[in-house]
Amino acid sequence: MNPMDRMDDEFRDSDISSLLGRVGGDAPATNVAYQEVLGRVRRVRQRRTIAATLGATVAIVGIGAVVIQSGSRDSDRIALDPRSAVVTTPDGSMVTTPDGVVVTVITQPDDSTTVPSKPGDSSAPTSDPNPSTPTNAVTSTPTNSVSPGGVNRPTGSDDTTTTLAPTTTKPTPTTSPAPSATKPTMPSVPVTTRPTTPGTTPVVTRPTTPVVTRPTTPADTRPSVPPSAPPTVDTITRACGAGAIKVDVVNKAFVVGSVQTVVLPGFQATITSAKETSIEARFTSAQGRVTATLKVRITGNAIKHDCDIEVEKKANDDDNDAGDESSDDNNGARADD
Amino acid sequence: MDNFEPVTISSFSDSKISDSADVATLFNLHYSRLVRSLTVICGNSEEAADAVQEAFVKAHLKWRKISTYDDPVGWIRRVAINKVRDGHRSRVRRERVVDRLSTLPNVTSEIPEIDEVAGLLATLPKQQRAVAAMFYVEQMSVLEIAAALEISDGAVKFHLHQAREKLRAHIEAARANEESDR
Repeated sequence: MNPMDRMDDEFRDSDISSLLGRVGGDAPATNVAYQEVLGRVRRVRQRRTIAATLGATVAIVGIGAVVIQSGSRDSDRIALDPRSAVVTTPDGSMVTTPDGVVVTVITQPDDSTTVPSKPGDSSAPTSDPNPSTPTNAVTSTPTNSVSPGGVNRPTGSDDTTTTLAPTTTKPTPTTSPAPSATKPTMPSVPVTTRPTTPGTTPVVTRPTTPVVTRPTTPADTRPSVPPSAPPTVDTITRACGAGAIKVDVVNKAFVVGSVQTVVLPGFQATITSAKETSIEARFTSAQGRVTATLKVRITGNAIKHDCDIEVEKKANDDDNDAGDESSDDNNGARADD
Repeated sequence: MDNFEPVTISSFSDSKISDSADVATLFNLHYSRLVRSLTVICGNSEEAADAVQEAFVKAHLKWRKISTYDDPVGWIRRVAINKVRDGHRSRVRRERVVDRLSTLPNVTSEIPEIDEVAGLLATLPKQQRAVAAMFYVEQMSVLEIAAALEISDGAVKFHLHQAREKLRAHIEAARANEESDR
């Protein structure tokens, strides 16, 4: 016999076992008790799941709020989808950009294009019975100044490029279906648009409202430059003799179409060469005796210019008038120098 | 002795069936004994059942860890005993148990002997009650009781001796009264 059993036997007492067994009562219902245990386990797990979900939700919301606040200060005012360049608002009607440009999405029932919009935007048509008639247009109304081409800037920067409404037309009481725009004349007046019925005037706006409209098609609504990385535009002016040129520089290259010349009275300016890396202009007096040649070029990060002034010596047999003019020209050239 | 009833575990997902099955088996084997033992210790079957169920809930939630123990039942027993001793239950639940007991049939009036024994057990120190309950109700050995209560086997024998002397005196007195009545 196990010594431990002998040790226990000295305490064995059937009377006490029977008595305490009766005090302990009958055996409880195990199945019911186990179901109750399972129910408690379920509740504990649910509480843990809810706590974990709440914690994760709070963390996500907090992170999202921080990201939104740091990423876009104007996200609560304007939402510009860079893929489609469609400005959307909670009600899908009109927004105002930080630089005062009021943008209104005009929707017509016979729109041939489908502009990507929010699911809840009921103004976005899905079918196009008349493809030649633009029905969805984005109207931009500058309120403070005339933005070139109705610029929509997501961050209010002056250096952003135009993404909508590149053309400008005169304001009219009714908006023509063709791509047109109006020259802004009344600032701070938002564009009022109304849904129109087919066959009638598509959009009715206030007569004094400066409107820059352009029908939006999926291809047109693509922004040419991502709004988040606007290019830097610098305007330089270089003078030589009796004239000067002014040109925009973007990304270390001249904007050929932006070259402007300024000359003194009696002189003529001629742009002999206009490239992205160099521009050459010639300023000539009326008689052609004084010629100033200005060459501006971009070398690396520097912009250099050369100025050559040539004065033609006239023969002595010129008439007096010519001599007078020569004298004037010389004076003008010296004054310029 | 105990009513061994099959436990349904279909409410658990497949990944937890094995763990749940282990716990269910353990529950079927030991729940009744634990409840009766703790009823002797605390004097209240509802309180004892509540403590044991709470211990099994903890075991269920931590079964991956507890299953590696040498004596998972011992862990459950200790948790249940600590619950009874420390009074972890909230006051509301305690009052609810009291109300529930008050609505039950008057057990003490039907079995006065048990009532007397319960009163006697209440006069014993808690360690003696625990040792007596484990030894006489759960039929545990001295070493098992020592391991469960984390005391030495000598201390178990001391408490067991003290408890048995008092209970034996009560039984002898009861028998003497019965013989005198005859």
